[in-house]
Amino acid sequence: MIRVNGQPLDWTPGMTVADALAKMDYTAITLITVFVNEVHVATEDHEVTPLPDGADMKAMHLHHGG
Amino acid sequence: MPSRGDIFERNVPGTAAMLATRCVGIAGCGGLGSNAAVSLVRAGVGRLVLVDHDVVEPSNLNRQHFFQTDVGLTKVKALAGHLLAINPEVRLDLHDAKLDPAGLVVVFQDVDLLVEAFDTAESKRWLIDAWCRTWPDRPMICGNGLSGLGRTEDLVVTRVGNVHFCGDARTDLSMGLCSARVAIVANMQANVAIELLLGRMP
Repeated sequence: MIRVNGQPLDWTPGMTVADALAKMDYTAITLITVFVNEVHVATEDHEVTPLPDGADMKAMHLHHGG
Repeated sequence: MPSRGDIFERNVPGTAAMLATRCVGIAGCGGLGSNAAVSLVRAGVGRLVLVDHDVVEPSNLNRQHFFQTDVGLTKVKALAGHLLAINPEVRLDLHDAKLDPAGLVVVFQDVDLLVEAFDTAESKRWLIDAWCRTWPDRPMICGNGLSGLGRTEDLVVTRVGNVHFCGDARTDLSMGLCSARVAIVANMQANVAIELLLGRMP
């Protein structure tokens, strides 16, 4: 099992950051930045970055305004 | 002309001297960036690298640290004037340019940390990507969720790795912008920056 923004999610071997985002129904990918175990994962690497079992993933939703 | 000692007489003892040796990058000089820059200079930060490609427009005056006489000037030039009016000794690197990943590596090469102050979520995302790829151990402080009114209690700092997010992580530009709320988030960013620069954040 992994955690995404504190929510438990079943883990499967080979699961990537992109897989976890899809399972969480986080579809606005252009507005999300991801960290796995406190390490940032670049957007272009979401589909090739595997998640270890037990990973703590944070998907931060970014909002317009500055 | 007041001396540096006069300006910082009421600051927390010992902090202005330490901050005088520090350098902060600010990406965007609008609501977040202009207000954060003012607070950083008042705290005693010795050098700022300011990047923005916009000019001051009348609609900026509701929340950004600009005045009627600034309208039509580039934001970096107008803001520089205000910062130097507070502390004439502050060192400013001004870049009237649209930042991109290649430019980031050049202009922010020797800053201690970055204050992210862009308008759009897409811009925030690429900046986080580029910063964390280039300098994964160097802190970045982002504004995220500062729109609408009230709800001060929703404004928090969330740290993930070396990235600190300030705001409510919920509200969006489409709700409209209130000067007080924007300035609170800008000053949360400045406050985190000062703590980090002084080595006082765990």
